[in-house]
Amino acid sequence: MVGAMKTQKHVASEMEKRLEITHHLPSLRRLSIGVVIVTLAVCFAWPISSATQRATLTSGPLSNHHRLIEAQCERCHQAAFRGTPDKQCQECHTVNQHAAAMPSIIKARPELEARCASCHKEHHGERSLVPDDSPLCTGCHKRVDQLLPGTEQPNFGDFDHHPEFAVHGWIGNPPVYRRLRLGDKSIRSDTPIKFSHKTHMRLKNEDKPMLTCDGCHATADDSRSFRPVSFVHQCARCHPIRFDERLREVSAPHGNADNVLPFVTAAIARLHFDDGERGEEARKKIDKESHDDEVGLFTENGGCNQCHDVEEVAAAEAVDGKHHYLIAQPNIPERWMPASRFSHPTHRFVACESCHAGRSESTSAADINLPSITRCRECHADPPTPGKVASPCLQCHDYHSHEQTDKRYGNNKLQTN
Amino acid sequence: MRDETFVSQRHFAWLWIVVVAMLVLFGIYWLDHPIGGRNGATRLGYIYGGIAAAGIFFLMWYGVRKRYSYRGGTGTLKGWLGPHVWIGVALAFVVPLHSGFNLGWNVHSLPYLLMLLTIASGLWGAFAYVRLPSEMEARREGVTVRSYIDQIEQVTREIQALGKDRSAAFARVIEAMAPPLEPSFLQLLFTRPFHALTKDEISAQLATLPKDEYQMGLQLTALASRRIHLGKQMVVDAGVVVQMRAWLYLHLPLSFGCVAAVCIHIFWVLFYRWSAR
Repeated sequence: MVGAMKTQKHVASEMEKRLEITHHLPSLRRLSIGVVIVTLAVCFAWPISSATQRATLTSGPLSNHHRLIEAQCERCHQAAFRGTPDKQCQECHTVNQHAAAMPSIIKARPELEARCASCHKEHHGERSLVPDDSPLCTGCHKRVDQLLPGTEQPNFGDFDHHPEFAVHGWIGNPPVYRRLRLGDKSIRSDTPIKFSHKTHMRLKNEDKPMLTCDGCHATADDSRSFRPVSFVHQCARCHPIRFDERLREVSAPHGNADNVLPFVTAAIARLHFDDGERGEEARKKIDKESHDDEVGLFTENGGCNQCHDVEEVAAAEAVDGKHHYLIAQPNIPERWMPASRFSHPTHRFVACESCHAGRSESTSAADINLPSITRCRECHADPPTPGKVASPCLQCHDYHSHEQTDKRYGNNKLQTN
Repeated sequence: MRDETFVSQRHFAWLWIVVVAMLVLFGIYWLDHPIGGRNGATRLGYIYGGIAAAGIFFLMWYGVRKRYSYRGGTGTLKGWLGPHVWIGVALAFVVPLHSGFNLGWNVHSLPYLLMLLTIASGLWGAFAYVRLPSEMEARREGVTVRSYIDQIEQVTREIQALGKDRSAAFARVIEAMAPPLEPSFLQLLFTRPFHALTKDEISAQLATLPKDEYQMGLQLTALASRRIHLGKQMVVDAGVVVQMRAWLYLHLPLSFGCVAAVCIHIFWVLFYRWSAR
C-alpha cells in the first residue's frame, strides 16, 4: 500500500505541485527582500535624489509661512544631528528684542541652552510654532528664585497661585519706577486732580444715575484701554469755565493758564466797546475787571480750584517778571497695568461695578478701583477647568515684551501712606 | 487540543496583560501635556517610540525562533505565539500614542501603514490557524487530495479510451468537455470550481456528433461531469492548505518592510532632530 502510494505520488507530482502555494508565488525570501528594497528606495533613495520628494521627510506639516521653504531642509538644518541654530532663524527674522527678552537668565544660565527652537517647535503645524502653552512660562516661573537669585518675583506654577495684580508707576522723591501689589490699602494714586466718582454717579432721580461709566470712559482704538479723559470731551458740557456774571454764555480756555488773562481781557473789552466806551478810563476799567475775573477763577473758590491745585507765582518771583498761576499737572493714569492684555469690549456683558465695585463710593481720584485677581478666577482658569474659560499665560501677557515695557513708562504716580 | 488555542491559552492571560499595559500607556498619555501638543518628539513620544520599537523587535524574534531554533530556547514556540499575537495587536495602538495621533503622507507614517497591513495579515493567519485545521482534519489532511488526483487521472484515462478511434467531431467534444484541470492561485485561494458546461452547451456539443456516436457522447458526458466534480473537490481540499499558507506571504514580507521603514524613520529623525529638543 505504502509502495503504491509512493508510485502514485510520483505520477501525480506535477498536479500536486500545481496545488501548492509555492508553485504560484515567489519564495518568502524573495518577496521579503523585494519589499525591503522597494521600501529603502521609496523612503531613502528617492528623497535624497529628488528635491521635490524631500518634503516627504518632514515629520509633520510646517507652519503656514514656512511652507515656502518646505523642500529646502538646509535653510534651517545646517548640519546633521543638530537642531536649528538661532542664526538660521535670524536670516529672515529680526529677533533682537525678542531674543534679548531674558538676557539676565541667558547670560547667567548658559546651560539652559535657550534657543529659538526651544520654544518655537516646527513640523507640528501652526499651533506648536507659536505655542500658548503655560508650561513654557511656568517651567521657569515656578522656580524663578533659583534661576534669578534675588528676584522679587514669587514662584508660581498655575493661575490659582498667580500673585495679586500690581500697579505700575513712579513713586517717591526722586521718583523710582515700581510696581506695587494690590491689596495693600495704602497704595494710592498721586494724581492731584480733585474728582469724586460718588458725586458724579449719585442718583439723579429714583434709580437713574446722573452719569454712567461710558459717559466719560470711551474705549480706545486699540480696544484694550480707554481714551484719556479730557476736559473738552467729558467735563466742559456740564462745567463751562465762567468768569464773569455778565458773560454767562462764554467759557474761558482750558489747558494753559497763561491763555486765560488775554482771553478774559478781550471778552471784557468787547463788553465795554459795545457800550461805546473808549479812552483811558475804559482801558483802566477793562484792566481791573479782567484782573478781578482772573483772580476769581484761579483763587480759592474759583472754577479752576474745583478740580486743580493752583499755585500763585507773584510777579517778583516769576522769571519773566509777570504775575502767574501754576496748575498742578493732573497725571491722570491711563493704564495701571500697561503690559497686560485686557479687553474691556470683550467683557462688555459683565457689569462695570461687578469688577470696579468701589467706584460709586469713591470720593477721591487717588482711589485705585481695580479688581483683585480672585475676581478673574471666578471665570478664568489655567490649567483648563470645566465650566471656566481656559486662560493660558499668553491670554493676558506678552512674552517678556520689551516693546510693551518701553511704552509703559507713563506718567502714573503712586503714593503709599 | 480543540478547547485551548494559542490565542486563548491560559484563559486569555496574554490578552489581559496587554489590555492592562495599554490602559496604563493610555493613562500616562492622557496626563501628559507637553509644550506644543502631543507628538513623537516629546519626551513621552520618544519613550513610546522606544516601546514600539522594542515590541517590533520582540515580534520579529518570534520568526527567528521559528526558523532557526524550533525546539530550543525558553518555552514552547506555541507558548510564545500568544504574546506574539496580542502584543502585535497592541502595537497598532502604541504607535498612535507615540505620534500623538499625527499621521500624514510622509516617510514617518509609512512604518505604521506597513505595520497595520502586517497586523491585518497576521490576524488573517491567526483566524486561519484557529479555524482551518478542524476542516483539514475532517478531510484527513491531503490524503484525499492525492486520491482525487488519482481518480481524476483514472477518469481521464477512461475518457481517452472512449475517444479512441472515434471521429474528429468526437475529439473536439472531448476537448470542450474535458479541458485540462489546472487550478490558478486565485481559484485555490477562493475555492472556485472549474467551469462545467450547462445543459444547453452539452446539447449543442452532442449535436455536432455523427448519429452513431450519440450513445458514446452520453457516456462521455457522464465521465466529464464526474471529472469536473472531482476537480472541484480537489480545489476545495487543496484550497484549505493554500489558505493556511497565503497570509504568510503578506505577513512576512510586510513585516520586513515595516522593520526597514522603522529603521529609515529612526535614521531621518535622528539625522534632522537630534538636538532639536
